[in-house]
Parts: sequence; C-alpha cells; structure tokens
Amino acid sequence: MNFKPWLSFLLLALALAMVAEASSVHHEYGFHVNAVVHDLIGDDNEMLLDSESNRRTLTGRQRYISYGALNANNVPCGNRGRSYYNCQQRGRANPYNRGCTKITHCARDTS
Amino acid sequence: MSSEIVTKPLIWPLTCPSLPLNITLSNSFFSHLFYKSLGAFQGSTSHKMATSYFLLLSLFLLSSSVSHALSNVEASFIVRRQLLHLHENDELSDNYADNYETNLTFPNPRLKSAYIALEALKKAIYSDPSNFTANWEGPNVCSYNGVFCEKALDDPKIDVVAGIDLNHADIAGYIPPEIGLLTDLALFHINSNRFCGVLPKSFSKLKLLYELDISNNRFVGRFPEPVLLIPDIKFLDLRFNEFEGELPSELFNKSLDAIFLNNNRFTSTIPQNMGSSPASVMVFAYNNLTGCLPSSIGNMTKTLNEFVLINNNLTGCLPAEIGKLEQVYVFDISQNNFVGMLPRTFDGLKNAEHLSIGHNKLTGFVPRNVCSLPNLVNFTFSYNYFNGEEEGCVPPKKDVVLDDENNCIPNRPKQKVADVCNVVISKHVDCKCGSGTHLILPILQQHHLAHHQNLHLNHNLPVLLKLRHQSHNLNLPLQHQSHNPAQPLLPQR
Repeated sequence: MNFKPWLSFLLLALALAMVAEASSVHHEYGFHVNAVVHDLIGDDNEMLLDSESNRRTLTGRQRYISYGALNANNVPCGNRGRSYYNCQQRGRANPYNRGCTKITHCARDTS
Repeated sequence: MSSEIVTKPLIWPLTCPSLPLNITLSNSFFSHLFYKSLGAFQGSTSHKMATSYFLLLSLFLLSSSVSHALSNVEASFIVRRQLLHLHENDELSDNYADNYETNLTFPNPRLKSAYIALEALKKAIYSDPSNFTANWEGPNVCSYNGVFCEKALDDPKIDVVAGIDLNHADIAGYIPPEIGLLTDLALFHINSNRFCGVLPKSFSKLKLLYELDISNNRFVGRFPEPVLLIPDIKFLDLRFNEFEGELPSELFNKSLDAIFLNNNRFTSTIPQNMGSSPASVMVFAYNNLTGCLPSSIGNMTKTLNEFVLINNNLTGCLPAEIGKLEQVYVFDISQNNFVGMLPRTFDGLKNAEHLSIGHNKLTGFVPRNVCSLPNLVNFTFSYNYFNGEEEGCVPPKKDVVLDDENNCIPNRPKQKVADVCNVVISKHVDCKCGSGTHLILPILQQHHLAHHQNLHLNHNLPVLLKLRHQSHNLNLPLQHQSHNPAQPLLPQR
C-alpha cells in the first residue's frame, strides 16, 4: 500500500489541529492577557506568528520563562545541543558547559 | 531491517508498546479506523471532539475481546524485535552492554553502550517524518543528528555522548529502557515530539543528567518517579503531556532550579514541603490541583523569581508568607478559588513586576501599598469580590497597568451587581483547605464578627447597605480621604 498520499492527509489534519488548538487557546484567554508570551526559540519556532501578534513593549524584564512555558512549542534555547543554561556560548555545542545557575536569569539572554 | 520500519510501520503513532501484549491488530484494519477518526476530527474545529475521538480509539485498543491475526512478516518482525531488545518495563542489567553482540567496533566501551541505546531508540520510533534519524547508522554515533559528544568528565581522553537534543523533530515512538546506558548524558531534550508511554525505570541510571525536557509529547501515567533518583537534576520540564495523579513531595526536596509541570492532569494538593525547593521558577498552571497554597512558600524568599499557578482548583486563603518572596517578579495565581483578604504582607513583594490574582473569590480592600510596589508593571485583580480599593489602586495609573473590573467596588465601572456581591461578602470566610461549603450568617451577626476580625471589613458593610437602598448615590463622584484611608469612600450620612 502506498502511504504517501495518507502522509499528506495526516499533515493536513495536524495543521488543522494546530489551528483548532490556537483558536482554543485564544478562547481560553478571553479575559485580559496578563503578559506577553515571548518567543524563546530562534528561527525554528513554529508558533512565531502567534507570538508576534501578542508581542508588545514592556518595561522591566522583557522575557519571562514562566509565561513562555505556557506555549507548548517554546524551549529556552533554540540552539540544538546547547544547555538551556548556556545558550549564548559560541562555537561547538558542549552539553557539559553551563554559563549560569538560575534559568530565570539565563533565559533573559536568549536572542 | 530499518527499511522495513520505514516502508511498513507496524503500529501507528497513537499506540504504545506499554499496551497489553495480548492486543494484536492487523495494519490495514487499524489504519482504516485511524483515518476514519482523523476524518471526523478534520470536519470539526472542536478540540473536545478530537479528544473524544482519540478516547474512543483508545478504548477500542484496550478491548481485549478484539484481535486480528498478524501477517507472517509482521509476527516474525515483532518476535525478532522482542528477542533483540528489552521490553519497556524490563530492568537493565549492569553488564547488558558487555553481553550485546555486534560486529561493529567502537573507540571505547561507553560509545558502544551509547550505540546500543541509540539503536534501541531508533527501533522504538514509529514515525520520523523529517527523517531526523536517517543518519543513525553505524558505529560513529557522534555524527548522528541530535547526538552531541564531548570529552568525558571523568576521563578527558575519551569521547562520550553528553547530550541528546531532538527538540521539534516531530518523532513518534517510545523511550526504551536501553536509554539507561547513556550514563554520561547531561541533557536530554525532546520537546515537541510524539513520544508516548512512560519513562523507563532505567532513567534513574543517568547520574549526570542535568536537564530533562520531555515537554509537549504524549507521556502518560503518574509522575515519572525515576526522575527523582537522578542526583543532580536541575531543569525538569514535563509540561504539555498527560501525566496524572499526585505531585510527590520528594520533588521539592531535590535541588531543582526549574520545575515546569503545566498543562498536564495532575490532581492532588500541593505538598506542604513545596517551599523546601530552591527553584527559581515553578509553573503548575492548567492542572487540577486542589487544596491550599502551602505557607512554606515563604521559605523560597531568596530563590523564587517566577511562580505561575493559573487555572487550577486551589482554595483557602492566601498565606501571609507570600509577602516574604522578595525575589519574585512574576506571581500569577489567577483562575483559582482563593477566598479571603489580600494579605497586608503583599507589600513585601518588592521586585514584583507581574502580579495576577484575577478570577478568584477574594474580598476586602485592595491595599495601597501593593499597588505602589516599585517595580510593578501589571497588577490584575479583576473578577473577584473586592469591595474597595485604596488610593493609588484606581486605574488608570501612570506606569502600571491596573485591572479592577468585575469586582464589588463602589463607583467603579464594570462591577458586579449588588445582589451578586452581597451573597459572597456576607459569607463567613472559610480559610480551610479543601472544598467546603461556606456558611451564610445574618448580616448583623457578620457585622459583629467582622468588627473583631478586620477593621476594613467593618467599614465596608454599612457602605454597601447604604448603596443598596440609596441608588441615587451611585452617581456621586469618588471622594478620597487622604487623612484616613480606612474610612468609607462615601461620606457618612
């Protein structure tokens, strides 16, 4: 049996699921949105558009890792193989290297 | 062998080997049912309907009365796989890697162990639409996608697998017990995949594991207790899965810096020792947690920066110890069932930027000193039963976003109607943990009790009574009493 057409169907269904979930999320936040859900991932964030539409300027810390965690696809560091505690390190990823000890301060440096 | 997996998957992504072994399904029959469910899901934008269809599918799978014969090829493949690899719940013996037979040669024994683990993981994968693991072949595991090697911490002359990072790979599969052979692993990141089942017991063998991110997958079962046996784990992310049951108290005795449990199905009270945790961030939002917020939270005074408890079923009064959290800048307990007054100690949240206590059942006055916190950016106390707000808490206010809608505050727009307010405000406040019915006392009796319990409440009741009978006063402008903020907002008559 050739599965390729079904794969396209499956991807379409998953895309619909994502749309449905996005609608559901907006419905849940019918009340005043407390904070902006920030994009803590680099270019590979699949929810980038959704994050951007919610972005607005805040004084104080720009990124809250806790509110970012309310978005399923977000991770503290989009650079594969790096510790979430050492996202900004240049060069080859070394999982043993950690640049800080409190993720709430590390996350702020994520670009 | 791997080509067989790619061209003819035996089990579809939603199933999981942890299901009873007596279930046998033919590929064609199951795929038909799967697509039928997808079709129904496609026609509806309701997430609930999708959930019910998947539930139906699960119920069907769990029915032991249904069985279909496997083809010979399928049956022999499963037998070979079972003979070659550990079952999900099998223990990992200490010399498992030594007894593993292979013609391949490896630079050191630890890379052989890593090869065994990664081969088992690849065989446990049912779907890899982006071919992320396509190059997981041969003895050079350090060149595999998502596998990161480094000099061993205890032997700088040898390379070992230090990290596995499959974030956003959209892989469906399960985690085999061979994963416990990766004893040099410091980070394991698999966010946004479709791994299912439970974490194997062998996870406790990962003594160097520092970061565990299994978020946004399809894990089930109770809190994965092998995690609690990893000695120095710092980052734990279980969010967006289907974990259920209790939060183990041992979790808060570990030296974790980050605890993300949001969007699961946890149901329990929060362990009383929560404040023993040194975590800088705790996110428990979107679960079914009940009971009170532990007063031990005050012990996190030097560590806790972000605390998010949105949308659970917590009750009782807010502990005064919250005011000890000097380092908190995000504190969000909205969408719960907290009752009682806002503790005066809230002015201790010196670094608070985002305070959200909306959608609860809090009463009394919103104190001025909370609204004047020096770093406050947003203070949301809407959708409660506050019947007053002190000077400095009235929106709009420069530099601070305040939200006081849907309370019981006189002379403010968008408030609850008086009858709704009186039902709650006249009740005796029940600070007890757990869901209890609130006693309704006669207003006069309540007035007497309030006089002894709290000065502010005493002043509020007469104001409300006056408002009820003198509706024309609703148009009076708000008058500030700078000399004595505790006085009623309206002049006495």
